Amino acid sequence: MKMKNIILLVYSFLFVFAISACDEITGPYTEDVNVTEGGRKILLEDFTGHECGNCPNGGLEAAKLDSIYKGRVIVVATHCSFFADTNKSGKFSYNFKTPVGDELDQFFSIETAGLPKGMVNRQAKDGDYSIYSNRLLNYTEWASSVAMELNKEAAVNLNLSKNYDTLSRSLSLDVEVEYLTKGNINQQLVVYLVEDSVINWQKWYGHIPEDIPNFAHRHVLRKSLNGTWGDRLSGSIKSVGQTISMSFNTTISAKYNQKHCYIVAFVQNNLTKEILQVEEIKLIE
Amino acid sequence: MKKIFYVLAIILLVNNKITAQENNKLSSGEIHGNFQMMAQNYLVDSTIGAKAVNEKIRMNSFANLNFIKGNFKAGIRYESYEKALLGFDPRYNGSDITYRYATYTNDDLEFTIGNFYEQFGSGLIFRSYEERGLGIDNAMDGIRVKYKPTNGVYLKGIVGKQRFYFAKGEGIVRGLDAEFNLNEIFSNFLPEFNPANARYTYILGGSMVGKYQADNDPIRILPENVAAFSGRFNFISDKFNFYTEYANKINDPSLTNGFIYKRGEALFLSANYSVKGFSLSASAKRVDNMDFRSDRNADVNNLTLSFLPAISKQHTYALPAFYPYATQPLGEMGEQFEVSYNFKKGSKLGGKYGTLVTFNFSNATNLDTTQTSNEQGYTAKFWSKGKTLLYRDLNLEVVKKISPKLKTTYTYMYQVFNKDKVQNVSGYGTVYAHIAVFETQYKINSKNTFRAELQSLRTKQDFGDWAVALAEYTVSPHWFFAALDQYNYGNAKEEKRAHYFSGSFGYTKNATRFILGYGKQREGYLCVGGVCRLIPASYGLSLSISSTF
Repeated sequence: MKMKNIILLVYSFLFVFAISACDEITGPYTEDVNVTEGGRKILLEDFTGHECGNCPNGGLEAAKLDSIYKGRVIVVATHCSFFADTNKSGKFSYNFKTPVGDELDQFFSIETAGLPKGMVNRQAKDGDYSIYSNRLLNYTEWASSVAMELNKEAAVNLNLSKNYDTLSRSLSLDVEVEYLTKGNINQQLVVYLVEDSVINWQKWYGHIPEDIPNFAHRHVLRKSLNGTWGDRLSGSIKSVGQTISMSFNTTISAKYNQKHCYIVAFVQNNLTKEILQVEEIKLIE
Repeated sequence: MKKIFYVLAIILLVNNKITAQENNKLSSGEIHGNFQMMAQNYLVDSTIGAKAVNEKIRMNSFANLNFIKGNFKAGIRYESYEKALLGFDPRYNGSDITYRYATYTNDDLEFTIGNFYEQFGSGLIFRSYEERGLGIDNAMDGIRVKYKPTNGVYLKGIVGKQRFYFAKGEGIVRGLDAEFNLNEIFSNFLPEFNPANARYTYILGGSMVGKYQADNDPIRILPENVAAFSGRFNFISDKFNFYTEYANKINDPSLTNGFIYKRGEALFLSANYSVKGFSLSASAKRVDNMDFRSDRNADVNNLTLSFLPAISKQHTYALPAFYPYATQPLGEMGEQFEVSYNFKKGSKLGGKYGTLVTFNFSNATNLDTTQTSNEQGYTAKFWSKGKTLLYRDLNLEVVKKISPKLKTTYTYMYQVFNKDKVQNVSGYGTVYAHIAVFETQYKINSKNTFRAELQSLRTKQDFGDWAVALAEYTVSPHWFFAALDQYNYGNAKEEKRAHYFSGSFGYTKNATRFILGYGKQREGYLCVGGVCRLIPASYGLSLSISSTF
C-alpha cells in the first residue's frame, strides 16, 4: 500500500473515531450521590461578594453539597475583593468584609483570580502547593473535590464544647484536638465566628430582579477568635492518641443575630495551608 | 519529555560545532530566536489606587531559540516570571522551559511533536495561540500531522493537551481539518480552474474538534466527550473576497454557560470589495453558547478552544480603545461595515496630496432568547436580535497630507458601550461617549520626526470626561522620546480627577531595542465568560528590552 493511502486511511479512521466520540446527554442530568461514612469533615470556603452577580451560583452549589453530605461539609462564606466593597447607591452599603477575609484575599490572590471561587480544605489543585492561588477552585469543581476529600481518613478529631450566656453574649469555648495519626509541628488551630442567613442586598445575574434587597446570605464569616492563621498546637511532634486543648473567650457583637451564629474550628498545616479537620458548634442549640 | 529535548538540543549543538564566529549560521543549519524582558517597579499612589508589591520590582521575560536544518526544525522557549507583573495571573510564577518542539517535513507530510500553535479556519472551533500582552497562551502539547495527499487537498490532524500556565489542562484535545482548494484539484481537468490563470478561487473546508475530560462530578452527569464541527467556504477574485464559516457544538455544560446542556453554534460572514482608491467591507456574526474549552471548569482566558473573532474596529489610539468590545461567546449578534475612499490628488477634496476618508460602523446586541426551566437553559431565535444593545461604534477618520512633511489625521467616533453586560460588572450601566482625536506628524528632516496626538472623550457615565495629550520625537534610526498625559478631568469624584502622566524613551540598535518608562497606568477590568479579573492601577519605572537574531 502506498504511503498516501495509508495516511488517508489513518485520517479516515480518526475521523470516524472522532465522530463517534460524542456523548449526547438527554437525561437524566444528575445521579444519586454515594455518601460514604467517615470521620473526616470538609471545610468549604466560598469566596463571595454582594456585587458579584455570579456568586449566588457558588452559594447554591455550597448549599447543595451541604444538603447532600449532611454535617460533613461545613461552609464558610468569606466576602472579599472589590465585589464586596460598599456602595453609596444605597443598595450594597452593608459591609460584609472582615480583616480575615482581606488577608485571605491577599494571600491567595482571590481578587486577581475573580469571583466566585472556593477552597475545599485548602487543597492545591494537582498537588502543587508552591503557588497559593492553586487552591482556588471554580464552584463547578467543588463537588468532585469534596467527594475526593471525604474519601480520606481523618487525621485528627475535634471536640468543641461551649458555655454561652445569651444576655451578656459572652462565650467560653474549649477545643480539644485528638490526634488519630502522627502530627507535625506546623499544625495550627483556627477558630472563626460565622453568622448564617444575614438578610441584605445581593446582585444575581439572570435573576429577576437582578438586585435582590432581601437575599439570605448564608454562612457569613464574621471574625476569627485567634487571627487568620490561628494558634500553633504546641511546638513538638504529636503522637497518635495525644490530645491538646485550647480555650477561647469572646463576646459576640450585638450586631449579629446570636441565634444564627456558630463557631467553626479547624486544624491546618500552616506551611501548606491544607486543612486536616473541621468542626462546628452553634452558639444556641 | 523535557530531558529528550535537552539531549536533542545538546546533540545538535555539539554536532554542528556552533561558534560565535559562524555568526549563528551553522555549517548546515541556522539558529534564530528572540528575547524580551519587561521589568517594572511599583510605587504607591493612593489617588489612582496604585499599590506597592513586596518584591518592589517584578519581571516577565522569555526567549525563543529555533534551530533549522533542511527539513528539520526544533526549538524551545524559556519563560521567567520573577514574579509576574501586576495584572498577570499569579500562576505565571517561576522560570522554566514552557515550549519545545521538533518538526520534520517529508515531501507532502509534515509532523510536529511537542508544542505547537494551530488554527482551523477562522478559529470558531479551534485556535491554539499566544497573546503575550494579555497573558494568553493555550499552546498545544502533543502531536500534529499535516498532509497533502494530492494537489489542492490539505489535511491537518492534532492530538494533545493545552498549556495551563506552567502545567497542562485536564482535557485531551483531538482535531481534524480538511481544506480543498477547488482550483488546484480541478486544474488538470478544467484549464480555467488553473490557479495560474483563474479569475476566481474557490476554497472549501471542514473541521472537527473533540475533547475528552473525565466526569468526576458526583452529582451531575456530564458528557466526557464533547465535539464541535465546522464548515467553511471562501470565494476570492481580484476585487472581491467572500468568506463564511458555520460551527456547531454538542452539549457542553461548563462553568461559563452555567452547566446547561444546550448545543452551541456560531456563524461568521465576511465580504470585501476593493479597487484602487476605494474599498468596502461588511461582516456579520451570530454566536450562541459557543464558549468551547478543553476544561469545562476553566474561566477567563484559560484553555479556550474556540476563537470568536471580533468584528468591531480595533482602535489603536488610547481613548477610542478605552471601551473595547470583547466578543460574548455565550450569545451575541453583530455586524460591521466599512467604506474607505481616497480622494485623488488634485481633486476638490483631495487637494495637492490626496485625502483618505474611512467610515466604519459596528453594532452588537444580545440574542433573542427565552429561558426554559429544563437543562437546555434557553431557546434562541436564529434570525432575531435581542433587545439589549451591547456595543455600537460609529467612526469617521480623515487622513490628510498637508505638505510632503506634514501629515494629519482627524477621527471622530460615537460609542455606546454596555459596560455592565460586556465586562460583567454592575452599577455602571451603558456608557455613551463622543471621542475626537487629532494626530499630526511632522517630518523635520530625513532623521527627525515629531508626532503629536490630542484626544478627547466626553461622557456623562462611568469615569466621565478624559483628555489625552501625546508628544513623540524620533531621531532615526536609534532614538525616540515620548510624553503622555491622560487626564480624567470629568470624574464625578473630585479626588479622582487624576493625571496619568508617563514618559518614555527608547534606543534601537539593529534588532535590539531598549525602552525606559516612568509613569502611571489606570485601573481596568478584564471580564470573560461571567468571571472578571482586575487589572490594577500601577505607578513606577519600567524597563523593556527586546532583541531578535
